[in-house]
This record gives sequence, C-alpha cells and structure tokens, in this order.
Amino acid sequence: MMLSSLASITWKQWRQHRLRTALTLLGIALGVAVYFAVRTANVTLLSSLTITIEKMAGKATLQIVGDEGGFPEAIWETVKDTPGVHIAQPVIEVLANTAFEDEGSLMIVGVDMLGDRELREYQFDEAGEEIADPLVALAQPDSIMISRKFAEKHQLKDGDKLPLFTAQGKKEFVVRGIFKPAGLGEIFDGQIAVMDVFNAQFVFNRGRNIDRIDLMNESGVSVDELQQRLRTRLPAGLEIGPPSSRGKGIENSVAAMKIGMTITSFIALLVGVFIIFNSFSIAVNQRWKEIGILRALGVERPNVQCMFLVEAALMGMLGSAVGIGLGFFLAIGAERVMSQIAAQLFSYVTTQQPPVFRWDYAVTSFVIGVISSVIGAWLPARAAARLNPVLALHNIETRQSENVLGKPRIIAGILLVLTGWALIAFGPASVGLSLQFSYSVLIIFGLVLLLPALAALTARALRPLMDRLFGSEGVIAVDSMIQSPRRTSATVGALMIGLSFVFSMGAYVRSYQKTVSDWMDRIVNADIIINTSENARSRTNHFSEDLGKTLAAIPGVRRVENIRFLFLPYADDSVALIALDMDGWFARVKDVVEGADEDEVKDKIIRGEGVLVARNFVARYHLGVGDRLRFQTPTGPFDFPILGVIEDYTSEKGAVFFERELYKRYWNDPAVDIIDVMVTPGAEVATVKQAVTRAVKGQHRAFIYTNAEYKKFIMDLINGFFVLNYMQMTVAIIIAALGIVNTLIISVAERKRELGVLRAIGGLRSQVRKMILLEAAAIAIVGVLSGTLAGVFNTYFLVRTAAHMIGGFTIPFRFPLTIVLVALPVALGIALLAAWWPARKAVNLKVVEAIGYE
Amino acid sequence: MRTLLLLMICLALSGSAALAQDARKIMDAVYKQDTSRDATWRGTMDVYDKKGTLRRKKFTFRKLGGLGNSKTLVRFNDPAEVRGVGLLSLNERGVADRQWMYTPAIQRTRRIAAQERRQRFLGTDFTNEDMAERVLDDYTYKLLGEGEMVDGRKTYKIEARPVSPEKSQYAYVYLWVPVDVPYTVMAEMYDKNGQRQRVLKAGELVKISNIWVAKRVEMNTPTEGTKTILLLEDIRFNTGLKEDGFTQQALEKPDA
Repeated sequence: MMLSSLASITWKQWRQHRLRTALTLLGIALGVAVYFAVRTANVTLLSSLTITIEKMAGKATLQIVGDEGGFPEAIWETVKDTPGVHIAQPVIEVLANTAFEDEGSLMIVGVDMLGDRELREYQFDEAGEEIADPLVALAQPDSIMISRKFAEKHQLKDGDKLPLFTAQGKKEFVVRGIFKPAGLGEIFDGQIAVMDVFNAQFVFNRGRNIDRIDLMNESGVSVDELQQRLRTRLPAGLEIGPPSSRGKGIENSVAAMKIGMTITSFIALLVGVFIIFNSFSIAVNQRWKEIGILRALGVERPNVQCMFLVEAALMGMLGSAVGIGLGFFLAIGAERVMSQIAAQLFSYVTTQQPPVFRWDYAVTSFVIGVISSVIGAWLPARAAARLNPVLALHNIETRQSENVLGKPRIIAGILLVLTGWALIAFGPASVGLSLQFSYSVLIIFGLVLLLPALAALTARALRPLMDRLFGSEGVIAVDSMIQSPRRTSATVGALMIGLSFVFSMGAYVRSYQKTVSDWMDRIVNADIIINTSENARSRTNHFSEDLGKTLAAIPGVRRVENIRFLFLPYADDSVALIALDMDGWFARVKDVVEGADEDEVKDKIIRGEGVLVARNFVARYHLGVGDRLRFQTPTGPFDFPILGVIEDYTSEKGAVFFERELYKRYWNDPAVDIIDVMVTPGAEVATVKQAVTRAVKGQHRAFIYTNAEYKKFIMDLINGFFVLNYMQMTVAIIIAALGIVNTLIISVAERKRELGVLRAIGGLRSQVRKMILLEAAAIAIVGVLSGTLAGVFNTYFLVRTAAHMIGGFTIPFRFPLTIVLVALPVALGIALLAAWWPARKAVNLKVVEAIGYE
Repeated sequence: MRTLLLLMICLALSGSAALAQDARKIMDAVYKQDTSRDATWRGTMDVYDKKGTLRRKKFTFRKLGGLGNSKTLVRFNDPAEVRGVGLLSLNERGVADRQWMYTPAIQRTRRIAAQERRQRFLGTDFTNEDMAERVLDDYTYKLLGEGEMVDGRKTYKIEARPVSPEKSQYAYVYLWVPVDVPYTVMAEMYDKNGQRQRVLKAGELVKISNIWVAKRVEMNTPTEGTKTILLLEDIRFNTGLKEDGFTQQALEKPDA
C-alpha cells in the first residue's frame, strides 16, 4: 500500500518532468546500447570467423595445422596410416587476387579432388553434382572451380578464363566447375574457389607443403583418443584439435581489438551511470519538499530510499530494454568495422553474418543497465532518506545549504584518486586487466567526489574574468554556480566523464601514433616498399624470389631485399616472425639494439647465430638477452639465443627478427611478403617507382609505396584500428551532451523562483537569458578543466596499463593539448545549445507564477 | 580408370558354355574364365552428360596378373589436356587397392585416397564401387529365371546380393548371363530403396586367345540421364608384360 502510493508519486514525477525522464532514459539506453553492441559485435565477428572455419572444415572432426608456412606433405601419409583415422585430406588455403578491376580477394581452397567429397560439401551445377570433366580438371593445373555467385558476378561459365595473380605472376586459370551457394559456396560471400591441392601447390609455389590436414575419426575411435594418438606420432609444432579450437586461436589473435572495445564500452556505461546519478541527484533536489512531507506523514527512511531505488530500477529496465534494441543495430556497424580491422590488420577474412542475438548478453546487459541505474541513484536515494523533514519543509534556498563541500567528502575523493593512481603506477600486472580497469574507475569516482569543490574553486577563479567580460550577469552566473555546488557539479560531472573519455582516447591514440611514427622513421628506411596485400600483410599470397631479381635489374635500383613476414605459434599464442636480409637492414639503421653491444650483435645476427626480439616480446614472455628462443620447424627444432632487444610495434603479440637465409634453411620456405628497394644515389625515387610499377603491372598483384607513402599506409591502418574507439567516443560525447542538456534544463526549472524574483526586481529578459547562457558557458569551462584532469589520469591508465597489458608496448604519455583546445569551444557550443531552450523558457516565465513556484 | 576395365574382366565369362543351373556355379564360371597372365588393349571412353554432350578420351590399358592379384596401368593419350596422365593400381586380395595417379603437367604422382563408394569415378557413369575389383565370394547368388532374351541371346537372370550390405551402395544387382556364352551381357544395380541406379550392357562379344571379352560396354545412369560407353580395340592377351612396367617409376614415364 505504502509502496503503491510512492509509485504513484514517482509516476507523477515522470509525467511532470517528461523531458528529464526521457533524457535520463536515453542516457541509460545509450550506455547499455554501446555495452551490448560491443559484445554482440564481438560475438558476431567470432561467429563469422567460426562459421568460415566450420564450413571450410566440412565434416572434419580434427584438424592438423602448422604455422603459416605450412608443413611437409609427408605428414599426411603418417596421418593416413594412423589407426582410427577414417579419412584425412590435405588442404591449402590461398587468398589470391583476381585481375578484375575493383575486385577483392578470392579465397582458393586447395583440396584433394579425388577424395575430398567425403569430407566437404560441394554442390556442382553441371551434370547434377559433377565437375564437367574431372580428369581434365585434375590433369590441368590451371583448373579452378568457382562459386556460382562469383561466376555470376563476373559472367563466367565453364571453360572461361579467370586471370589470377600467383607467386609466379599473373596466370590464367580455366573455370572447370561452378558450385552452388551451399557448403563451401556459402562462405566469404561467395568469393571462393576450389582447386586440386597438388595443382595449387604447383601454381602457388608451395613446394611439397600443405597448410592443413582435415580428418575424420573412425566410428569406434573417439576424437580425444585419436587426437592423443596423433600427438604421439606427429612432430611437435603442429596443432591438433577440433575445428572449433581454431576459432579460439583466432579469438586470441583479435584479443587486442576485443579488449580495447570492452574498455571503451565500460566507459560508455560509466557515463550512463553518471547520468543516472545526476538525474537522481536533481530529482531528489526537486522533490525535497515532497520527501519532507512524506517523512512528516510518517513514511520511514527505508521506504523513501526504496522509492527512489525502485524508480531507478524502473528507469534502468526501460532504458536497458531500449538500449538492447538500439545496441543490436549499432552492432551491425560495429561488426563491419571489426571485420575490416580483422582483415586489414590480422589478415583474417570473414563470412558476413547478420548480428548474433545472444539472450545471455541481452540479459547481462539488462541486468548491468538496471544495476548501474540503481548504483547511480544510490547516493541520491540515500541522501533523500536521510533528509531532515524540518529542513526539507523550508524553502528552496534552504536546500542549497546542504553541504557538499565537506572535508570528509574531499578527503575521500583525494584518497580515491591517489589510491587509483598508485595502483596504476605500482600495482602488479598479474591481476589482470579487469581489476586494473577498476583503478581507473577509482580515480573517476574520486574526482566525482571532488567535483563540487573543484567546481566552486574554478568558479571563484573565473569570477573576476566574468565580471570584466560580462559585467553583473557574468558575476551572478558564476555566483549561482558557487552557491549551488551540487547542481553545478552534476552538470560538470556529466561533461567531465564524457570529456575525460574523449581526451584520454584522443591522447592515447595520439601517443600511439606518434610512437609508431617515430619508430617507423627509425626502422622503415627503404626507398620503395612492395607489399603483397592492400592490408598489413597477406597470409597466403606471396611473391617469389624471382620478382626481386627482376626488380634488381631495373635501372636506378641499387639493392633489393626480400622479407618474409608471418606469424608462428608460440607458447599457446602466436608471435610475428620477420626474416630479412639483416646486413642490408643493419647498414641503414643505427642504435636499434638494446641490452647488448650493437656491433657484436649485428655481426652475429648477420651470420645467423641468433635472433633479435621486440621489447614487448620480452615483456610478454619474460625472456631476455642470453635466453634461447625455440620453434618447431618443418626441418626440426629451431633453437637460437636472443642476442638483442629492439623497440618494435609490428605486433601486439611481439616479434622476432632474424636472417632470412636462416629462415629459409629451417622452414624450407622461399616465399616473400615484402620487398624493400633501395635506389642508387642520385636516382629519382618517383622515377624508379614508376619503373617498378611498369615491371610488375599485369604480372603481379603488388602494392608499391615510396617510403613516405608506406608510412602513411601503416598509419592509416592504425587509424582504422581506432575507428571503433572513435565510434564509441562519439556515443560518449552524445551521452555527455545529454547529461548537460538534462542537468541544465533541470537547473533552470529548479531556479524558477529565483529567476522570477530577478525579473520581479527589474531584471530584463535579455539579462536573464545572458545570465543562464553565461552560467552554461562557465559550467562548460569547468567541465573541460575537470575533464582534462580526469582525462590525464585516464590516459595515464591507458598508456601505463592498458597498452602494456594488451600489447606489452611502452607508450610515452603525451598531453592531448590540441584535443583540449578543440574540446573547449565544442563543449562551450554544446553547453550554450543545451542552455538555449531552458534560457528561452526562463525568460518567458510569468513572474507571478515563478515566484509562487515551490 | 584402370579398374573400369577390370570390371569388364570380372564380368567376362569363360570359354565353355556353362550349363549349370546353380547361380553360384554360373557366376563362378564368369569369374574364372579369364585365365590370361597379362592383357593389353586400346580403348575409347565416351562420356555423355545429361545434355548429351560428349567427352571422349582415348587410352591404353595394361594388366598383369589375375583376379585378386593384379596390377594395371592405364595411360591416357587423347585429348591433349589429359595426354600422359597415368593410373596405376595394385590389387591384392584382402588388402585395400592401392592406386596412384601421375599428372605430367605438374610432374606429380599422387596416391589416390579411398573414395566414397557412390561417387562417380572421374566423371564417368561408373562409381568407385563399380570400379573396385571383386571376387565371387563378395556376393550371394540366386537364380531368378531362364529364357529371357538379351541382344538375341537366351539368358539366365541372376540376383546378386552383397555379403556385406553396409559396404555397398547397392542392395542387389540383377545379372543376365547367356546360356550359351558365359558372359554377363547386362546388369542392373538397385539401391536400398529398390530404385534402379545403373544399367550395364556388354556387347560385341569376341573370343580372343580363348578368352571372351566384350568390345563395347555401356553404363547408363537412368536417374540422371547420363551414360558412358567404352570401346575396346587391339585386344591382346599374354604378350609377356613385365613387373617393372607396373611401378611408380613406370607410371612417371608417359611414353612408356
């Protein structure tokens, strides 16, 4: 009965303050939407990757996978002869480039055309289920079977020519089968083709290596049993597991992107929480008198608190429900961006999937939304419950006397900030990112507690300036802020959280970009760089060494160096391996080796007596100079000492560098991913680039850059990685702007009587408007300042902890001055826009009504 | 490819007219009639798809040894796309057939994996199961009737059921064996739903070196409207082929 009466009060409040209610709901909805969208996009991306793997795997119950260079085909014989293996099929995957204009890549799956049907689903169009002439398809290495979608897109039919770029240059393949969009034909949006595996080895220069063996166990032998059996028979370094385990491997590869997204989604949620806090703080203020009456009528404190908390929970439910719906649509865009990043940076191709709606995620988001709302409303509800009924029944000015500038609050705030900072600076990394993220939250909460004091302090500092610039209206505006620290801090808080996020992300991105840019200036020093892919690299498309020889003969070319860039399994994860002509590279870089005598290390590295590792590899695996690095290779164990450490940002997984000849010897793999070209002194780089372009045109799918162009290309890729963060930053700004609009509207409404008095004693409408707008501007200035402060702490967290945790990178802190300078007018603009409508409303107040407002 | 021709050997009858009424005895005669040590011939294989489009291949065939212990080598020589492609098969009773294929374009010999039984063999109307070398004991036999005329010959109609049904795509096969010539001139293969899957017809029977052989074999797939016709010429038996002509080294010599 009591609660239902309280509910009717809540309902009345919602109806009376529709705009505030709507804005608060929107704040929660956006926070939950970002949180839900990030999770949905993550799971959709993984589902896209997994579906691709599963379709590719067919009915295989186990897969044997080596590193990116593949492994010897002879292992297939061992697998076939293993008891319990029903069928084992070799597979090669090549992401080739077609010679069609504006065409993307084509995934070519090399399978044993004579035995693969039992394992994988193919549905060929011709003659029911068959390739028109299987014998010709097998006998001719140029035979290719394509998906119907690809065929229709390019109007290809049986017997037509399909030009593709291979390691040996451009080659024309002959379409000898078209398969339906089922099974394999469904993946990669139909950009898929099938070849005989042995023909694929030949045309793609893969020697006698294969990428994978897909196998099925016999009915009487369990998958686990067979897996164990194979482990004892096969050389180390090969991964044996069900296809689903490969999905997990890919999940590891894109973990950095996932963690980054999760951090920012939490921040968006935090902004949402703060909006609730604001909204309820103000609601409590607005309903102070009602609360006093309720208390005077005998309503007990827990019931008052409960009323606000139930109201918050209801808002949380509504906002979360809307947020989940909104998040689902946001996820579509987010997943596209993530897929693009997965392709560009991690070289994974996905099969586009509709967003995966996960009920568990929806429920989690809903619960988090509701809990966040209740947490946000907790302190205001507690304050309402503790209200002294006598004080509450006084007039509105009395309410302002509530002291939010008390010492305990300030001390608690300072302690929280200091604790958070100390934990970030000195806390152990082993506790994990989730706990470390809470350090940043501690700082934010500390700053929230300090906000009223900070706002009052800044407002006092602004007072003389406002007086000089805007006269009495400016002074009144600032005084109003000083007199109402709770109200001011609510608005400033929303701005602070939003801006701190923007500043810290901006600062982090800038710091990272600058660090990488400086690093590239030191490391990337070839005049012309030729890549196999428009992305960072290609897993499957490589050049042959012959191309380097062709380029070396071009006039103006002084030297050509071949680079192999791949990822290898290492310690349950993967590590980048860069095999290059070390003597040439060392001749062009200075002071790159850390932790050892550079000249001595260089000599040894050139002689192939050891390896260099990236600094983040050292941090990640706790290895250092003198330790030994071990890999399993196709020719046996690779076991060499770490001779030096270098600063490197190639991969968040860490990177290993050594002499290319050493790689070729152990991996038996002459493939080339990047070609560095040095021009002769005096030769024009642009002219040589043109000559290189002419030499490869029509023969190879190659992406040719000058040194500056290549650096820009890498920076663009990095920027692409941050697109998602920018998206989230945009949402955070919207949420923060909502917070400002919300609190300013409420603030004006709350001051109805005060404004009415001002008008009654002769204040002009223009003066009232000016005063409100100036107050909004002053709040924006305070918000930017406090946001900068919070942003600095948050950036410190990102560069000190997050970057280190995600990639083992050490990124120097850089103050985001430009962003702060840009943010100030933007925040001012938002604040003035947000205050415009309440100001308009205020000047149109009927004086008598306004004075009577209570 | 090589086993396609082995199938014909399996179906060929011995020289003496088998008058026995017992189905198994009739079929025993069929399996035992080929007494040759080795065989060679030249063949033409015409494959018609459901649109009636013809794809023709020419090849030479060599076989050493008898049923259950034979080696065969098929070499394609026409059209140009398949010239030099070779198929080597080693058949040993009780052991799964071992097969290799050589493709000259990539100079590669590959081991051919065990195949799905119902899958077509290299696009022909013969399935992998049809191509596998079989022996008398793989089936049980029942005489269904006598007197049905096939190509002007009076025949026995025999039902053959696989001893291990789980290993066969067919539930049963009807065979027609002329009463005067011990040779299977027609066969119909039925699946587990009783649907007729394939029809084999052997014609132009000739007796060379006292061994019956059909110079024309036609396999139809009525459900798909496709057929494969095999024409044999220059058939010779016991010409003294040697073991070293049936090795991987020999397979990799297209001119051999």
